[in-house]
Formats: sequence, C-alpha cells, structure tokens
Amino acid sequence: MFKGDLFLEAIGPVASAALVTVQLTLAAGAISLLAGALAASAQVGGGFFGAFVSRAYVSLMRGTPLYVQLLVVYFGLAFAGLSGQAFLAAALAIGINSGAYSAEILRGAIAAIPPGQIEAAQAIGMSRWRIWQRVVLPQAFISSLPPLTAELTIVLKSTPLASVVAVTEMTYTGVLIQARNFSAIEVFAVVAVGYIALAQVLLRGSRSLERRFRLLRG
Amino acid sequence: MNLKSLGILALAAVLGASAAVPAGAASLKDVKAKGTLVVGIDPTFSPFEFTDSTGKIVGYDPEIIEAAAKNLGLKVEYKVMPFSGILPALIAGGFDITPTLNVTAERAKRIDYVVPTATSTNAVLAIKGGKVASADIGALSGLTCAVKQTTQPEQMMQKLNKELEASGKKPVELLGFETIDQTIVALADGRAQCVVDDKSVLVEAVGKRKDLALVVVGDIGGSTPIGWGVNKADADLTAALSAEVAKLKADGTIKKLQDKYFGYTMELPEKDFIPAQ
Amino acid sequence: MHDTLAVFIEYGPQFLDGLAETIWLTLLGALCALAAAVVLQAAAASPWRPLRALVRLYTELILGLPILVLLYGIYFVAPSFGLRLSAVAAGILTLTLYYSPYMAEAIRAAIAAIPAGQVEAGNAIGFGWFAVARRIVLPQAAAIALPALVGLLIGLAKDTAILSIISVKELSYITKQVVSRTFMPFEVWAGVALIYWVCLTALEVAMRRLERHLTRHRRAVS
Repeated sequence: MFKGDLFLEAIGPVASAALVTVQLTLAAGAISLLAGALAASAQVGGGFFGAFVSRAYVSLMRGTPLYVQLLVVYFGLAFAGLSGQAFLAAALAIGINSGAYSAEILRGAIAAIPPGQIEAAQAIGMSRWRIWQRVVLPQAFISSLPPLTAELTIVLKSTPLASVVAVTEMTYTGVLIQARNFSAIEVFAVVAVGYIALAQVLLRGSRSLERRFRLLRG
Repeated sequence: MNLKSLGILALAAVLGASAAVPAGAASLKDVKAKGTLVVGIDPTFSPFEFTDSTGKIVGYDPEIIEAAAKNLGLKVEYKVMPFSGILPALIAGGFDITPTLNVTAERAKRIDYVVPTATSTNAVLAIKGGKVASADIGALSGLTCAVKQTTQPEQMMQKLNKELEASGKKPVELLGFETIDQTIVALADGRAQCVVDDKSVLVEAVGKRKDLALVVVGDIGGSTPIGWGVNKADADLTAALSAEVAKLKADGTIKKLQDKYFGYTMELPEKDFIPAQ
Repeated sequence: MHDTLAVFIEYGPQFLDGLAETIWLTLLGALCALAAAVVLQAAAASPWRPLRALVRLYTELILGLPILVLLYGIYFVAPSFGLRLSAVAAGILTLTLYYSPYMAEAIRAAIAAIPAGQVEAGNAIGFGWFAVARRIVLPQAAAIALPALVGLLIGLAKDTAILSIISVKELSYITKQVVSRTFMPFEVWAGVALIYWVCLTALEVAMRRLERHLTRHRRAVS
C-alpha cells in the first residue's frame, strides 16, 4: 500500500517547493507586519477617519475567508493592470489578511506602553511622529514578538491556499505528484512532515523569544 | 514596494466597484516583444498534459504548443493552477493561452479558440461488477458520479440531469473534485459509483490503477473538439497560433503526436468548429 | 454593477443553498470542535502521564499542519486505512480535529485564570467537585474564554470555504460553478466576499451580546 519508491520520488520536488513556501511565508509576513503597524497606528493615533478606515480593514479581513480574498486580490490586480502576478497576489492577499491580526496584536502592545514614557518624550521636545517612531512602535514590536511569531506560523499554514492563484508551493506540488502517480499516501506523508518541520522552527523560535523576553522583564 | 502594493490593491478595489475595465491582455506584438508565450495549465490530465517524474510539464498539447512557439520564435512559460481557476484567469489576462479546452458555445462567447488539436468523447468509468453497467444517462439516474469541478464533462452532466428531471427521473448526484486521481479515489471507495470525463484520460487512469477493477462502461454525450483558449483581446495571437497548428497538421507532426500519446489518430475540424448551442 | 446584480439574482437560489450549507457546517463543526476541546482539555489535565503526552503531541502536530493538508489526508488518504467518510463528514471531522486544540487552549487559559482560593472556598462550604465546577468555575471560565472562542468560531466558519475542494457544496463551491458559467470572476467573488462578511459580522455581534450577558455580574459589582 505504501510505496517506498513514490515516497523517495516525492522528497526532491517537495523540498524545492518548500523554498517557495518559505519565500511566500516571509513575503506575506513582511506585508502583514507593515499593514498591521499601519492599521494599529491609524487606530490609535489616526483620528476619527484613520480609526474608521483601520476598523473597516480589520473587520473585512476577519470577516471573509482567505480563500475568497485570494481570488478577489488575484482578479482585482488584473483590473489594476497587474494580471498574472501570482506570487504578488498570493503574498499580498495572505499578508493583508494576516495584517488584521498583527494590527490587533500591536494595538494591545501599544496600549500597554506606560503613558509616562510618552509624556517624558513630549517634555524633552520630541514631535508626535518622532515619539511614535522612536518610543512607541519599537517597544510595541519587541513586546509583541512572541504573538507575532505565532501569527507567522498561521501565515505558513495559510500558504497552501496560494495554489488557487497559480503559485506552485509545497501542497500543490504534492497534488501534482499524486495526480501523476494516482497514489496519495506517500506524497501526503512527505508534505505533512515538511509543514510540521517548518512550523517547529517557528514555534521553537517563538518560545525561545518568549523565554528571553520574560527574563528581560524580570 | 510594500506601500506601493497596498496602494495598488486599494486602486483595484476602487476599480472593481465599477468593473468593466479590460485586463491588460497582450497582443501578438506584445507576446513577441516579451519573447515568451505564457501558458496557463492544469497538468493533471494525462495524456493531454501531465508532469514527468522530474516535475517537467509534458504531454500531447505541451508538445504541440512548444513546437508552435518555436516556429514563432517564442519560449514557453507555464503557470500551473487547478482547472477551476484557469478560465477566469485567462479572461483576467493571467496568461496568454490555455490548452485542452472543450469547445462550447457558452465559452466561445467569452474566449477565442485556436483551431482544434483534438476531439474529446466523454465516457463513464466504473468498477467492474458494480451498480453501473451502462453509460446510458437513464441507467445512471439516482447514482453518484465524480467529475472535475467546472469542466465541460461536469456541465454536460448538469445538462443531462435537467433532461432526467424533465422526464421525472432522479438526477445523477455530481461530486466535483480538482484532479482525475481524486475522482478515482472517490470511485475506489464507493463514495461515487462512476466517473465521467474524457475517454482517453479515463483509459490512462485504468492503466494507472491496476489494483482496482476499473472499466470504461461506454461513451456519454457525444464528442466535442478540443482547442487552446485565447483571450478575446488577442485576435491576432489566435490567428497566428491557428496558422502554426495548421502547419503542424500538414507536415504530419500532429498525427505523429496523436499516435504517441493516444495510440490512434483523429480527424480534426479546421473551421466552423464552434457549436451554435 | 448591473450585470453583477443580475448574476446574483439569476443564481440566487443556488447561492442560498450554498449559504445554508455553509451555516450548518459551521454550527455542526463548532459544536463538535467544542466537545472535542473539552475532552482534550480533560485529557490534558489527567493524572495519567502517557495520556498527557499524547495530547501534547497531537496539539503540536495540529499547530504545524495546514488545515488543507489535514483535509486532503482525511478525505483522500484515510480511506486506505479503512476510514471512509462522505465529503461532509470528512469536512466536519477536519474542522473538529483542527480547531479542538486551539479551543482547548482557550478553555485551559480561562480555567487557569480563576483563583484557586475560590475552589477551596467552595469546598470549604461543602460543595462537591461537580457543584464547584458548575457553580463556580464554569460560569466564570465561559465568560473569560468566550472572546477567544468567538475568534476561533469565526476562523472555523471561514475555513468551511476550503471544503469546496472535496466537493462539499457550500458557498464557495457554488461560486466556482457560477464563475465557470458567467465568466465574471472578480465581480462574483467580491460579491460573495460581501455575503460572508455580512454573515460573519452578524455572528460576531451576536456573540458579543452573549459575552455581555455572561459578564453582567462584573458590571453589577463594579
């Protein structure tokens, strides 16, 4: 039932597709962080309009399936003259989806910054933008590192959906091999191990970060 | 870059509200300028298109495409995706052409076809000695059939279902999957009693799953030409590719490839191949 | 815009069928996942070490496995081990297996947040194990766990869209069919995104009300 030769045949292609999965995870993760920082900033210090736009963004992202978002972004980019940009579409869709969750994480971290620090910065004459850039955001990022890394794991686990917009990452590579051999179990085993291994790297990284920061804070 | 992408997305959302802006599709001139023919493909459809053990895309249509592209001085780049996304992506300008499309009147309203490279007859695949002994639609009434999502065989079965219902019979329940091997899994485990798709593809599957007692029960729904689809905006690309296919037909290349991949040759229509209905 | 509306009117009954399927998959999936989460949490708190280790291993595996891969495994691979499920059953099982460890963690954190002194006090006034759980721990834990559980419920509802890949005829499956007939991918998918958004926002608002109801004792005191 389990054919060893098919298992071995799957390892090479799935491993090289893992590279695509990692690239997509990192690109989407970067977009998530940027979108999250923008949305969190707009919600805290963006006035009525900024807060409204930011809330609408978070609500839209949380309230629609990523599967649907991917298709909307892919076909939406085509209207914007960027048709066929599969990787860009996938990274953007997964990134802005995750950005809504990053925004919530960062917003919580910003709220936890003691107001005294901001008052102190104002007292030494720093401008609002400078305070944001030098005092608030860096601290928020650092204290959110563990949950942000956990969010990156979710991003990793979302990447298989990118196949619907023509990104041949790890899962879809597996589907193609299965379609060729008419046998699912061997490829499934390789792909599952691939994800669990990648996720372990992130989970362990996140836990060691968490420990380190707990020590720092005493 | 990131901020710009966000800006572009916002723009896309705004434009989307009004819709109707055509995708940035390339003309033959643009394709020649970039030197590459971008082909959207679902390579899970042996012998038409599949992957070899190194992952390279091969098959009947890829060989013809590569020969035609070579004559036009173009390289070929493949974009791989499940079939359900391929036609929408072609219309949105995601790639220049896509091969192995059944020619239907419905599709011909939205895309152009290069002259056909094959004809397809749909057939019913079942387990020997199972509930399905005939490919007659009346005999399939009330059973469950696995098909590929959004393909012509599925749409043909939906049409036959309407006829069944009109004559007071129970329709065939259709389960849509993304690849043929997945439909075979559903059949093997009794979650479906039959699979409907192109006969030569099913014959190939029978050979791959010798562990199952699979049998092609018979043909269903007549035959249709199969051709490459091109975005409507690319009339001159369609014409150029049609001319290349005609040349490959004239010099015997296509007959040779049919023998290689199907084991038989077929007559191909050259004009008036788009059905009225 | 006008064309898009026409599509949604023409295929309205099919969209409604798909939406109904999505809603009941969500409800059934959420109930099964919650029940499994309670069992997982009980097993994780069990005095028997191998059981605890098993729960930890399972949780770790699920934390690393994409739901799509799990779904493929349950529908296409599990039959070779004798587990043969219909598409809907495979979908529900996938949602249950995938979401229960996350929900169990939310429950664990909520129970941990209740001061041990309260349990001791309950015991002191003669409450048994069950009475302590029912009268003291659960009402408070439910209120604490609810925000996290609502987030997971919404995640589960959204992940029903993935089940379209194994022929479950929910909203996204219907949408693919409609797109293949109308060739208006952007407009139709954007419209369907709106349908999801309206339903999920309504679900979230309803859950917030429930949360307010469950935490009314806190406001009464403060």
